[in-house]
Amino acid sequence: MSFIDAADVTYPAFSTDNCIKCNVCTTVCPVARVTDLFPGPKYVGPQAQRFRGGPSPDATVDLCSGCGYCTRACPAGVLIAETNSRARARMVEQRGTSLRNRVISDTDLLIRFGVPFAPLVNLDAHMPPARWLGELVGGVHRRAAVHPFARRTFRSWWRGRRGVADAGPEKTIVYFHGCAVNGFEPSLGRDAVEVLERNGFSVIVPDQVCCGLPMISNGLYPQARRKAARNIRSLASYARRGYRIVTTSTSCGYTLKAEYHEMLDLDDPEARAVSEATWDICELLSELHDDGRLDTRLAPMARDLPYHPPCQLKAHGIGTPAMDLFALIPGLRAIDSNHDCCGAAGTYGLKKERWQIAHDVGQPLFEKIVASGAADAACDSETCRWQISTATGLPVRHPVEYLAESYRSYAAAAALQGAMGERRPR
Amino acid sequence: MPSADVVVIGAGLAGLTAAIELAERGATVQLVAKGMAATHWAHGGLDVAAPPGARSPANGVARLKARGGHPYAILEPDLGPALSATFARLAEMGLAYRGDLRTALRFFPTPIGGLRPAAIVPVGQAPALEPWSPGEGLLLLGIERFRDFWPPYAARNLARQVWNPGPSRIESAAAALPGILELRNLNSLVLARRFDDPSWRAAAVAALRATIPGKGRWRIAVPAVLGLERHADVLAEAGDALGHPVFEIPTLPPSIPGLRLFEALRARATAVGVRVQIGFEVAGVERDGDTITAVATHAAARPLRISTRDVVLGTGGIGGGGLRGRRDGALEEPILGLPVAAPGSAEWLGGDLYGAGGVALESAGIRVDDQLRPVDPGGGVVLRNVRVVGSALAGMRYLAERCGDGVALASGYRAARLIAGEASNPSAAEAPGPARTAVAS
Amino acid sequence: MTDVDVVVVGGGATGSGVLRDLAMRGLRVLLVERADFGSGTSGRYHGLLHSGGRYVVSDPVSARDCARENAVLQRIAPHCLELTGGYFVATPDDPDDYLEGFPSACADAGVRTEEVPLRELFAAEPLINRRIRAAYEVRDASMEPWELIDANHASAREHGSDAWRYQALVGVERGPDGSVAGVRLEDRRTGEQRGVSCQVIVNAAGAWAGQVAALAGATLHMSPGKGSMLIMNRRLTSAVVNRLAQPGDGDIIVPVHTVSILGTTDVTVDDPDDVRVTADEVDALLADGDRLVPGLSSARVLRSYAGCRPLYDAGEIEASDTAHHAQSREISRAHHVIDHGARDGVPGLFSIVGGKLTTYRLMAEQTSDRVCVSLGIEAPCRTADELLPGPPGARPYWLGGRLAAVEADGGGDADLVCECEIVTNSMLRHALEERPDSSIDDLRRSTRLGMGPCQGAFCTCRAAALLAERADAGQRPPEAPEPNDSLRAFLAERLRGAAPIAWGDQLMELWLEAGVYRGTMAVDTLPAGEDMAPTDAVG
Repeated sequence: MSFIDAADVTYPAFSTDNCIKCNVCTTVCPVARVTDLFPGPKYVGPQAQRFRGGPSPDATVDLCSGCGYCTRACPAGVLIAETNSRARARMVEQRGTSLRNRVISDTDLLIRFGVPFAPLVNLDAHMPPARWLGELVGGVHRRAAVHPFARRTFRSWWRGRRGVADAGPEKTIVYFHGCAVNGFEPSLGRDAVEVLERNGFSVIVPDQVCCGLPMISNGLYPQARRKAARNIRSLASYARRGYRIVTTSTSCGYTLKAEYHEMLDLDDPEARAVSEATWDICELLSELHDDGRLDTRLAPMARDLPYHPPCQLKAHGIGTPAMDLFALIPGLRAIDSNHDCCGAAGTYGLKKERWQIAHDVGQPLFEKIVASGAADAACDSETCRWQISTATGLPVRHPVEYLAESYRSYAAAAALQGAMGERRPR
Repeated sequence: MPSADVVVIGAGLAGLTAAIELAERGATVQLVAKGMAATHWAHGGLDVAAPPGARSPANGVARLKARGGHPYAILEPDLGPALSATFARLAEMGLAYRGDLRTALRFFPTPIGGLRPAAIVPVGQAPALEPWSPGEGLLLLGIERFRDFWPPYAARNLARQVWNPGPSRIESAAAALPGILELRNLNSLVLARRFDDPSWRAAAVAALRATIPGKGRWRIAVPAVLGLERHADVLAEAGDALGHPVFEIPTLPPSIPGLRLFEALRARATAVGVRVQIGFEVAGVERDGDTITAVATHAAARPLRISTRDVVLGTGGIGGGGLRGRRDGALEEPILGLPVAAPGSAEWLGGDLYGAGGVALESAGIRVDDQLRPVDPGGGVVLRNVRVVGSALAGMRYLAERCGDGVALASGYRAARLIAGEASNPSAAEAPGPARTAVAS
Repeated sequence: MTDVDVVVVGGGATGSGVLRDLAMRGLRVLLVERADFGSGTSGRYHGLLHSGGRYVVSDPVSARDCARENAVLQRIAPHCLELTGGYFVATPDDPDDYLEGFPSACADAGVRTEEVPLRELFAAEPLINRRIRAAYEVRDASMEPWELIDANHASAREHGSDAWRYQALVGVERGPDGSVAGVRLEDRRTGEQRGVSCQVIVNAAGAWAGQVAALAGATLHMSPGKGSMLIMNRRLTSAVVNRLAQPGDGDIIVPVHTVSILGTTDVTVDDPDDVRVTADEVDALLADGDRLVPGLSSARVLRSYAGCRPLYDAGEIEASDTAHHAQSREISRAHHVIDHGARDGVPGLFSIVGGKLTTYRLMAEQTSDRVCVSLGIEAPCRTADELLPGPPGARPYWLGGRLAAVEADGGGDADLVCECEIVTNSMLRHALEERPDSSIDDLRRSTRLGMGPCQGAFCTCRAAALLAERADAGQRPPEAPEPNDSLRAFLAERLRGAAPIAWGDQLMELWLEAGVYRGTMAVDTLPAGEDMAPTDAVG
């Protein structure tokens, strides 16, 4: 029996015990690669952990972007990124954190005020003087990759739809839309619903709030726990009855699947049920395809499409199901970016003092995408999309949007065929 | 459930070689690894065999094979082809190696002034092994503030080594490289990445050059930090600018030459269609009798299952985590639970861990038949569709014999050929004859 | 120094305390130690500064001494201590009557204690056994011995006395009446011999006191008691945790700097130089540890080590000495000052035996009192009154100290030699400036180099290179060990502690280390130097 089992403690807190100081983690860290300010995962993770316990002795751990490459490279099973996150939470608990961090991590709040005033806010966001002011006063870098607020939230649109049909756990998907879809990219949500319905599912959208990841990333664990508690309360009953919870954000997905447990120590049966019931949408669709149940009536989209798997997808440990789905669209040649991290790391890349690091981390990726000559690119996580889009000037979409478009084109062509067929003389 | 023809477990030399060879033969291969290990710690050369008294790797292999129980007893015929294939693919990825099975073993200086036997090394290390000509001195050229290279210490020890013939004189120096003294973080990785940057590189090389004592012919040894992604460019530029032959000496982990080797093989694997999944730790397997039908890896929320026809186990030895010592004195193989041949726990560290002979535990591992299938103490095959490759194999003392890389490459190669059905027993199919030589590059 | 008043033999805590005490009373004192200071029992103890709670039932006099001395040390040596606090806990295996009697026994012995609500205990110590039914708080603290020993030496030097290491006592010169006249010393690294004349010898050689006494022609039967400990790789508790039961094996966990030390055992041995941790002891300690921290036996064990208690054969207690006739385990824990004048016909020889590190200052005081009486000197002991020398504004150790200091400077690894324990270049240089003849193991005691998870895998060669650099610069005195010898000796010494616990992650670590040293560094091909001094082997 391992110490973890016998001592009934959560693994991440004690995984640092396994560290053999081999430095493999340091070789994969994107942040250490670009800045001398960050000593790297070994130093701020398992090495520093032995000095923690009372007052926090930390400073440089705050530069960790949480990409998780270190955890995945470690031969000894140390959960390094998770350790770093907890150390930051401890720093925040003891020393507090800036108002800026509290504001930008509260995306529900930002949406509540941003969407109603979207025209004004969005206009401001494009004006250099406003951005300079934002940097000076608000600490958000003037070139930070911000996305315009939507005019209407996804939830608002959903409420305006016809009645919700719950067709039971096998045939109904519980959609966790996340803040990006809700307040910034509602069309992605609409596409996701369309794709799911196309494949015979009913979709329901229960009460939910921000998954809490921005708060976790900023060390605001109590705040994150409140978000988590509300989500779990709403979702657990579905999870326990066998419904699948599907996300279009690999970040929200990872938070529900893993971070509630690994960071926030939420380990009760409800939290576990939600975790085990959570699926990334591409993961789900790919699994359907493996079972021969995916609607493959997809119209050709002849193009080269650079695809960047986000760090928060790699963390899921499911590979890149989007690539399997792209392969089903005739003529679509998806090219995996083969690059580690775009640099955004959620709110990290927005911050005045982190923006350059984030940009440097993603620079080779941006260059690759531009050099490919492609007209757009794909990525499953929102802040990554916005980072890549801002840096390259190209539109960046979620893989599911390509599926939706392909389904629509197929349906439109079929309808046209059908209509023409009807007019043809027998 | 996703499926693959072969799941390779482990991303070391053995696993990557098996995966590449399989994919090149048309198999769909999924390579899963908990992380990266020994490749990132080792010196980047290819140690094939250097037991005491061996004159060349081939000679060493013959000695080890004659001892009985050594993996080379099975793998020797695969060694030549495996090395050729490896050299070719590394060269294609811009990482050239020198030497082959017939090359005489010579002494390679280490950062503390030891001399290790070597024959097959990357081109950036090759000048170290050239015979010393009269009047040629060795200059150990370090980098100020870099804490993992110690020219004065190495010099005083190398000066006392019996080196026949060795350098006519040995000196040490250190160069202050631009911007380095102000850095907060300084390790081989930081330096190697800086060397990748052409403008910094030019200034750094100039600074190195400036510390070379004016007179005389030198062979210059620098720490192994000459670039990570642009290593070939850095070598060329350094070679030109320094005006003397220069070679890298690998030092403490993370090993830059080891990293280059790993990245080259990984890129090759990806290019030939292997799905390389680092960070996918095996959670368990599904069996049907003595056949594995699926491999499950840890993933967020629930394991990921991959159905498969064959499995290659290249999880390494004790250092890599493929074999684990238990408190009760047993050595276990944690993924498949294969029986491990090991000395009794009282003898594990019997010997001299830091001496040439090593300790008894070094020879522990999994016993296999000539098809690399794991066998129990009675010789019965435990799992029909599993091949064990690399440091997990029993019967070798890879430190004392310096044979780990040869065993890894040969076993990976052999496993691939066996799975691809190229011969049910390749060692019988190969005509006896001179060992194949490597492609010079 | 060729002529002093007193020679103190033994550079552990007690000897160092005597050195300081007598120096402060105006005597000229030379302390000699055959290996490095604090490499004997003091360097191998549990790391515990007792509150006295452990002895309140079994040996109330010791308890009272500990309680008083604990307060003294907290006052005079804050920078040597960590104020961890401690708990006495009643596990399911511990008897009710002990628990019930504990508070009053503490009160009687002057040991401050207070009951702790279990809720509070479990919040403070998340890993502790949840089946504990009662807990008391005490003022236990943790202490690494070397800073304490160094501070005593520094204080002595302020008063004109001195301490030499790597000097073995090879002979005692006696006058015509048999009284002490001087000592003969041999440098264990160079073989050089020298004489120092003195009037008094204080034998503070602890477990080796019998050997020292014999050189002077006196008889002293020591009964060394081996105590083995296990070092856990991380702090499993933040405070000291003791069991509410009669003192026994494996019943204390002490957080000492970055690790937890679990101990101990009690095995009588013949030769204090030949102490090995046995497999049975490892098993027993881990089983005991599980009672305090469930699952401890599955956690990573970093290292094992054993020390020898300087136990005095009970049958020899003189009536004039304060004798504690307590339980058998405790009887020889008491300390005794022995005047070999009348007893053995060696006037001027005094031995101080038994005792525990917590009461070192008291032992030193009593010894120094006897010495002063014999020399006709009337000077009171002031060691409890004056602060031990330390860095300005010295605070107690806190776990995050070293990391915080590096982080305050912007963080980073560029200047770290031992990364595990955050030992910087300048710390090492400072240590080498103070003691230019240091071996790598000596540097370990001064700085904690090599005491982290990698057990020297990375820092040993860096340290050896530093020694070589200083040798080249002429900064190494002739008696300093050769860098290669020191490197090999250090690797061997680390391995000695690793072998009994070589499984799991620590075995993997050992293999990484072997791969580096044999694979990349080819340490086995280093040129042979002189044979390492025997002292390095006892490490």
